Amino acid sequence: MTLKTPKNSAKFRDEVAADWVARLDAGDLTPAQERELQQWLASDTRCLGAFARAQAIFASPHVALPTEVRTPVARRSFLVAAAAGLAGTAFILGHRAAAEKRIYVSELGEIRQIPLEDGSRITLNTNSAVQVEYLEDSRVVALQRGEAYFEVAKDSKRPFIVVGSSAQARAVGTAYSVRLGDEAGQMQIRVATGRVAVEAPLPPPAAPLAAIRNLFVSQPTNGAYLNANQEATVRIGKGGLDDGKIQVSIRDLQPGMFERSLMWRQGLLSFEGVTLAEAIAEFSRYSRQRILIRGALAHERISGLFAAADPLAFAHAVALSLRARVGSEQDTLILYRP
Amino acid sequence: MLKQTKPITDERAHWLAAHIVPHEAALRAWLKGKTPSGCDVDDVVQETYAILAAKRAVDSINNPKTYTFQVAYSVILQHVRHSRVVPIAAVADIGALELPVDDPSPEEAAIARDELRQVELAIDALPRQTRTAFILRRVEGLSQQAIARRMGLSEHTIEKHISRGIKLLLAQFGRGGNTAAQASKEKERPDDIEDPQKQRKIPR
Repeated sequence: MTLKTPKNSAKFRDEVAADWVARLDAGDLTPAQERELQQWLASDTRCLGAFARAQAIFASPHVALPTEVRTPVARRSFLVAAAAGLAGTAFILGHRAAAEKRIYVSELGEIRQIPLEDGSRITLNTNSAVQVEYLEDSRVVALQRGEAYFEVAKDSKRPFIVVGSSAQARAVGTAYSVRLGDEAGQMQIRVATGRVAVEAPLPPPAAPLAAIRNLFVSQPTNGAYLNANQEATVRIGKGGLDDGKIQVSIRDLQPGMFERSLMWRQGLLSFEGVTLAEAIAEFSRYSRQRILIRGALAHERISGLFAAADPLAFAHAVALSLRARVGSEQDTLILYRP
Repeated sequence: MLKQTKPITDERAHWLAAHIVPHEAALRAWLKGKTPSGCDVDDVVQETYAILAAKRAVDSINNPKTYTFQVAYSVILQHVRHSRVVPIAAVADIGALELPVDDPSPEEAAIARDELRQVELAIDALPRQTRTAFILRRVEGLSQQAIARRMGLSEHTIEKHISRGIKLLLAQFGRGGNTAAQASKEKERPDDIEDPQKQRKIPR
């Protein structure tokens, strides 16, 4: 190892630890290497600490790794190159069956189930809208507003593509949810089962290429792959080099978290250790009834299962557990500590 | 090849990752300026991890954050007791150590978010091949072997890339601040890990 950092410094131990963690990650150690590692670990308790920390940080689910989604332009030129190398692909491009577009909308507080002809099912959360378009080579759903959960019937010839505000989530058969954030271009994608590709949306003229793209471009560099119990957050970079670039961060979900968050399909909201302010923001998606917090209550943490359509019951339950009171001013409920 | 026992089990590493790593920034902020002279925050953190890693069981720890702070506190106390001459200032500092409240304050949460953003930026700024290898390993979950095949590089080279990625993360979590600038400097460097096999890189 050629390291210039002074030995017996914390930084030096970090560097040695990183080398060992990478070495162990590559495969089994030789007996000589194992002896070397044991000796090093035994030489100073801080070496063990550095090693444990390196392993933990390497394994950390909290380290979201951003993957820049390739821009559609770059992808398109690659596709053209790929298509040119394949005789007879041109006719596929020309053959786009004219499909009707259907739009489904849910009102504030309404949860709606939409069965589709191929056996897939969309559950629309409150105040949401989707446009469904089934083509010959793909099933395209544009999420125009809000949040929806998709249970996709498997069809490897027709990928199911959910197009959001900044990226699309593509799958052949799986269950996942997509939610549009408040900020422009912000999206959240969570996967219950199977695998979903998060990619830059194709510009309309390239959409029929979806089938070819699936043949040629199943490499992760085109976007990011999400596995079960993972969440991707998509945002559009602001300022500097990131400006306008679509960025995807992936993190693991805590066990059970996704199931809890999907309780909205039964009209229920499940919170575990969220701040009161966050819980109230969530309630505001489902009802016109506003809840205001006075004082320091906003940072209190709450857990529980509540009916999304009944903010009053929620306010009373919270008041009971946090020793607060519920008042009202016109249409607004006020939570405060006397 | 020997069938080996890992120095730290995957289970423990994941526990540390889930319960301790997220509080490291807060711990360091708390330790900063409060550790007596001759006692480095990095050293205290490493010793704290060593104690948590060597514990026989961790299921009984209800509040990992408070527990970690207590362990770090005990590490400092040990240092004070072991040093022959205790500087007066050090004792006064120890008196100023108060155990923090359980819930992170909004500022701490903001610091943690900022930290995460810094890590993201730092990874983003890695040299291209290191970044690709690291992301394939961590996001895609490919083995180093599979990454080597995919990138057309030797397994040894991939190991070096992974090691470099970990080093950067360690430094980032430790420093909590100006790594983005430093990392972008690194980006200007070419991919300087030499591949002994000199295989042709597969164009993407």
